Amino acid sequence: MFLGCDIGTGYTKAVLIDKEGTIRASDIIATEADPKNAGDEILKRVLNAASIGLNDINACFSTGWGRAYVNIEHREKGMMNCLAKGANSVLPSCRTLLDIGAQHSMAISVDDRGNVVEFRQNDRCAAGSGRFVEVISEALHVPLEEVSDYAMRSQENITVTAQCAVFAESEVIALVNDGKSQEAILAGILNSLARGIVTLAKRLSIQNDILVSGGLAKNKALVNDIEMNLENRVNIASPDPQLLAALGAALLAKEEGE
Amino acid sequence: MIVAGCDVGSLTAKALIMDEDENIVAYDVMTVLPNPLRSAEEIMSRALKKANMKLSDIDFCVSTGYGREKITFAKKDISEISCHGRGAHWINPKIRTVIDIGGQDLKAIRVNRDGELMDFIMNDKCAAGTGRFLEGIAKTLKVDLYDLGALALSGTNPVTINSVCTIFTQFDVMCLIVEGADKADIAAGVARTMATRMHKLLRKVGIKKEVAITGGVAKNQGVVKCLEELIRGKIVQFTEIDPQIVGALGAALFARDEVKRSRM
Repeated sequence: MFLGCDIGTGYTKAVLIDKEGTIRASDIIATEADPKNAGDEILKRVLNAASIGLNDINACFSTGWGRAYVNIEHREKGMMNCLAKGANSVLPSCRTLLDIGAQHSMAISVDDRGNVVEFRQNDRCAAGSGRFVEVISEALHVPLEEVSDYAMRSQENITVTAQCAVFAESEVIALVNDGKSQEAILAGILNSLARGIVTLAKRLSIQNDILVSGGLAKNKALVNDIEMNLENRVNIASPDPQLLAALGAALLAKEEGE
Repeated sequence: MIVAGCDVGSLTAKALIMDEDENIVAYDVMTVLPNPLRSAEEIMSRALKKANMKLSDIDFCVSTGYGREKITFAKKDISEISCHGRGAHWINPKIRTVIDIGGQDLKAIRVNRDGELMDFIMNDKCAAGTGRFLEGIAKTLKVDLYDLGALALSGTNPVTINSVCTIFTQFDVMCLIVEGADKADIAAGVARTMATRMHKLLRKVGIKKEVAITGGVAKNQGVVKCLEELIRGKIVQFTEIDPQIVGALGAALFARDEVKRSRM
């Protein structure tokens, strides 16, 4: 068995695959600013789910911000390499990958063997990340998982001008005071995020097919906005876009083991 | 002659009343209301009440700050950059450089020996290094914003903060708390990060002595001390005058110019 762990700033993910490359167990838990605890917990969960012990794991690769905190012998891998590997396995025709996590957005050019050709990322500023949506959803008292549905119901186009998440929060409060609906504001916020991600991606030569991953790939309204701004179709990484880096890490561990 | 300055910022509103002999008659500071004009009316009426005056007693009012154009009772509006330079220079004529930290912006201002604006640089695109940054950190640390400075001074082993972004720094602070870091050391690390941002801006505009600090963050002694270390010199701090009202003070001084000009 081969394990891939991705300890992110928002969520901790793990994927366990067998020697055929079939997923045997996977899980996603909130990191909650405690990577050590999250690393321990995710390991316990996937081992339980697959009914195996630590000794059954032939190799483990870890990635993400808290990658050092996997409590099992492991090798640390770069996020880009794991994502590219994962992208190649779920969509072999993928040449461009967009990954939007809690504290980063990334655009990666991938070759036909799952290697990184080139990449661009923003991990300095919350403007291009999931935190941006989180901050605004909290300010509007809309649960994070309902943000997409709210935005899809919007009948109006609002442009949020502030790039900074903190300033956007103030702008959003002013918009609420102006009588704008939560739906319209969230639609404006997601569109602003999508524009930022597309600007980042356009610094690469974008080639088809395009795959979207990371927790934010689950936000349908955001993915629609990305398609609109890119003027191109995108695919959402299966089986779960949030697991792509962990899956890639497991696949790299398997390659190493072979 | 009675003049007034009204400064409506992104977080606080300030008003100041000045008499014929350049004495400060009254001033007040409050948290802004959602509407800039309402904030201005409220803060002005508070200052007027303290001075035992009514709005019609004011010969000229100049507005400044982020909401300055919406203040209908002000006869003129002037940028807060000019007002901060002018106000700081009036308090201490030796001042040539002013670093002003507002709720949502960060400005480094150079003035000449007459207090006129020579050059400035500002950041109003990103919350890093602004009052909002400290506010976010205070919230994450669960301490009062105005206690953060004293807490920072008591930190003996400042933590290193790698993020620039306010939101990411808040996350870093959460992780540090989980790891068991001391709150005072976190506050000290945050103060250092903040001072580093300010120092960068000051270097861009050119540091010419004396240097003064204005705006709400001037009340955070942890930040002031770190900045003094970085510029290797003393920073002029306003003890008798609230550093938050320097913009309103500058606006009142410009209002005096207007009245004097009209009499000529």
